[in-house]
Amino acid sequence: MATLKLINGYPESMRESIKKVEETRAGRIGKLPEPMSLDARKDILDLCHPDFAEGGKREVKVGVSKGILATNEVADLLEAYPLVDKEDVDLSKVDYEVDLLVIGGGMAGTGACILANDNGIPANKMLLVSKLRHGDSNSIMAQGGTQAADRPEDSPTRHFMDALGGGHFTNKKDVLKALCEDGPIAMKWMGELGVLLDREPDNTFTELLGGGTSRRRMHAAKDYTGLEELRAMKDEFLSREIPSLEFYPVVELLSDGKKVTGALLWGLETHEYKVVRAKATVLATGGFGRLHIRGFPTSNHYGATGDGLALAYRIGAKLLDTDTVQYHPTGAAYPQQLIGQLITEKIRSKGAQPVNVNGETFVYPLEPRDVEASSFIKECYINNLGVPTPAGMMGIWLDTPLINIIHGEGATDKIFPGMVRMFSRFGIDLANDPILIFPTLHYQNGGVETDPECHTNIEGLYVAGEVTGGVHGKNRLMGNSTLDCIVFGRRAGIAAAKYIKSQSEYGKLSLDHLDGYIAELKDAGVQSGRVSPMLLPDYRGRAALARMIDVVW
Amino acid sequence: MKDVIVGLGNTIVSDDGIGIWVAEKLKADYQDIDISQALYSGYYLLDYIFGYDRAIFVDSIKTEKNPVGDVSLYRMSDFKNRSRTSIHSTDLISAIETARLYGMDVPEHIYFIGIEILDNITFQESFTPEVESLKESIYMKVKEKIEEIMEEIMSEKDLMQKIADSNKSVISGIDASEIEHWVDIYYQGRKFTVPAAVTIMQALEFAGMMLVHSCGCRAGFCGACATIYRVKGDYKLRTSMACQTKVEDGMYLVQIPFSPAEKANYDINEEKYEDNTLLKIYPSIARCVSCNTCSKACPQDIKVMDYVNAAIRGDYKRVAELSFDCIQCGLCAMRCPADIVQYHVGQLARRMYGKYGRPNVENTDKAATAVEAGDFNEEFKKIFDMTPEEVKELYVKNMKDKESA
Ligand SMILES: Cc1cc2nc3c(=O)[nH]c(=O)nc-3n(C[C@H](O)[C@H](O)[C@H](O)COP(=O)(O)OP(=O)(O)OC[C@H]3O[C@@H](n4cnc5c(N)ncnc54)[C@H](O)[C@@H]3O)c2cc1C
Ligand code: SF4
Ligand code: SF4
Ligand code: FES
Repeated sequence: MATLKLINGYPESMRESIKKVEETRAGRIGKLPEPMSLDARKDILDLCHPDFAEGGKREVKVGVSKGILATNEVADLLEAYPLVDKEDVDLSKVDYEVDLLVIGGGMAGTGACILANDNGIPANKMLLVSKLRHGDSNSIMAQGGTQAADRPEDSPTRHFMDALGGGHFTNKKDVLKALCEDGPIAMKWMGELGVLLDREPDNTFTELLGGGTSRRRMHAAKDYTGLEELRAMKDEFLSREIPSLEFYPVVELLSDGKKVTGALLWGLETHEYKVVRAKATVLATGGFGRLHIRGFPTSNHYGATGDGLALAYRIGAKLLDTDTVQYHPTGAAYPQQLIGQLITEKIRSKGAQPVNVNGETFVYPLEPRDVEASSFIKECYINNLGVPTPAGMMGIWLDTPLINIIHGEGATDKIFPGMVRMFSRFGIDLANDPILIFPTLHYQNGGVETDPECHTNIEGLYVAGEVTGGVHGKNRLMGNSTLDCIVFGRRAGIAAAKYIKSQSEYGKLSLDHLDGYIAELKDAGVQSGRVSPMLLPDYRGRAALARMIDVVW
Repeated sequence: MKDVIVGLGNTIVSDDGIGIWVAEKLKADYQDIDISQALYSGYYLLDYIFGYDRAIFVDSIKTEKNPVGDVSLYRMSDFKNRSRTSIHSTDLISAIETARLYGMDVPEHIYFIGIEILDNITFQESFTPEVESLKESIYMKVKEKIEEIMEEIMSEKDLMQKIADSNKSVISGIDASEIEHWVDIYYQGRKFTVPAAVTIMQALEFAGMMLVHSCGCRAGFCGACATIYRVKGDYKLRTSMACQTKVEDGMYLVQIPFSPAEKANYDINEEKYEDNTLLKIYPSIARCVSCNTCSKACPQDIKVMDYVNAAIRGDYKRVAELSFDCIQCGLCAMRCPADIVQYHVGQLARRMYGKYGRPNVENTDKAATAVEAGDFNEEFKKIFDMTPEEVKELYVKNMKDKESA
């Protein structure tokens, strides 16, 4: 069988463009386009940014935050019928009765369990449920780092101001204050757990400057920050023998009509349901990259389908800022196998220039994320100067060989070992050839509204991590979300433990809250057949799906 | 999308009423758009546009440069550099900007259609003869501008559609009709013909499998997709991560979604930072026969054998450094003839080194203590009491005194 002919990872068609990139390279060194004026930035955002380009959002027609603007994909999740028919489940048979139920096995969920345990909830009175394996999450993928203001030159108030400006002054201030104040506490805790964050020769932390921050406060563990933080937390969790249940996503929260009293789980392999009764529930289901908002590829993990938004909303929890999404300008666009995966911003800081199919520069490499992303989109789809891939995508070259030219032979291997490994697996040597990139869907800015103690407006329901909205406002700064998960995971565990102690009895379990929601959906004319949560995205493709039948035996 | 068109002006000062007149006429032509008329200016006008996604103001304008009856389209950014006289919307611009600053629900897209007039001073309820004679052509020109706005919006939609179309193989699966090159792979012994340019993971999905196991981050970080394979004609048993490995023709593969390798339980606070702690907790490491199979199996190219040997010696630092890139896929443990659970040993060693092998960071401890003592409460209170303008000023000031990288 024929295979596609590749020359050092690239097909002939792309090699032709690479030749042009090589020809212009020497002339481009030290010559960059001017940064854009504020007006020019606004115009390009208006024209090309997926958040602003027409047709991407609508008002949600049902629920407590009715009228709130949401991306169509999120609105589809909210304006959807439950997966289960309440008549099909018997809630009188309880499978797990616990003090604390934690939903989600990323950093926020894992941290909540550990802190609840520290605050008096016995391990055997807890349960962590996750859709995939414990730890398969966005948390484990964080590369860049975690912000925390812990140097004498810095302060939590300065961190607060940086994040507030970054969020266009739309952040919830009391929650943001908690985030910034707890930064040093979170880092101290990381140390107690034995997390190996990078150090300087004098044993202080290595702290870098992130985009939009006025002080160096980015703590990292090489380019595996999330992996190092989460695996240590999970090791602690496992050592404490806290029970967990993997591959059992929550498909509905349960309520006694007033407060959240547990959850209904569905086994991804067994297809059976299980009933959990809990005094308090922490929702930490993470983000929504796999909704592929506006058809964008994503950097997120397989289970990032925004389930928590639908679950919380149906039980009456309010949402915030569901209309903004963070797109990272540099996701991989080639080879096919890497599409959407994150290429760290640092690669541009170190001199790699974005250039078009003719090897020409067209944008200052370090515009804010949203502006940089928009100009890549413009170059590809309006100016038609993108580089087509065999898979039919368009991309922009990131001229990575410049890094060695500027910083000396061997610099790329030393600074970007993870990235070099990623591309070398597909025969591409980024020290010699440019790599192809296109914006990727990266982060869910908004979510379930919360206060500094992780309460929602529904008693018994706590939220933490990427599923929440407010702390970052309409735009998040790099490094603040791993901090968010650590800080509010901890706070949720503490607050839930306190609440549990005030509850002598378990609540009644029911799905009656769905009746009103379903009635509202019908009134709004939502077609039956649209259901949520999504649980997993489907990548089987048309050919496979066209022949699918349901067999019951 | 909720749109509103607002005609501005005052019908008792001659041509000033043209916006109002146009808006009235538009009502018949654009029945699905809300149309209102207003004689206010500045902040009062915000009431007319709150809650809409898009607002178009139709207003009279006196540049005294353009011919009377001329119609132009402006956007918010047009007003920043130019000063403009005699337009009701001038102070509206700052009202909108302030409203945005306070997070109020003003439309994201705001347009101004300006109609050049002659007289907006004389009190009379009719237009000047010039404007009167041009009013039908003015109306047509305004309509053209509205169509222009609508078209711009359509092209933005087209643009996003183009992107979605070109990405469809990664967002909804690969379309067989677009694939030229194919390979055969054998999954658990069964043959599947799959696109040549995809990962093992994408190939299995193309083959019709809805992955539940063996799929986590899809980017080489989580270790969920450990895979063992042989290629036809090659005796060697290989290991890899399915999300980071391209399919090869004749690949026989199976996935290991879970490695049955027991992790020891310990209380890190109680364990002693001594040479034999790792051996005490994982005595199996003593059985290592230095065959190096583990290192060859590691998809992260980690020198696994070397860190096991360092663990036997109690060299925490060396284990931590060598094992750092471990994604806990378990493949090393699956291949080890001595049944050692290398990656669990690595995890314990890293935590021990992280906790006991390096001094605490004093700065961090101090900052944490200061927070717990409430040292920043006053400074926060000051910020919370500031007006939005003062907050903005402080932000700009902080940014000016930015540290260098
Ligand atoms: C590639 C990448 C790089 C990043 N880099 C950085 C960085 O450098 N710095 C930074 O600060 N941030 C970074 N982020 C963002 C940050 O990692 C995440 O926002 C954060 O870790 C989210 O943590 P979480 O605990 O809220 O959610 P996750 O870590 O995503 O965990 C969610 C958990 O919930 C489970 N779940 C989902 N639905 C259900 C359900 N219905 N029932 C049960 N369980 C469910 C999932 O399986 C998963 O276990 C990055 C993100 C990505 C994707
Ligand atoms: S050391 Fe073992 S568990 Fe870790 S990545 Fe390598 S093979 Fe996988
Ligand atoms: S595979 Fe097992 S026995 Fe062989 S070197 Fe590795 S740890 Fe030692
Ligand atoms: S799916 Fe996480 S490493 Fe492959």
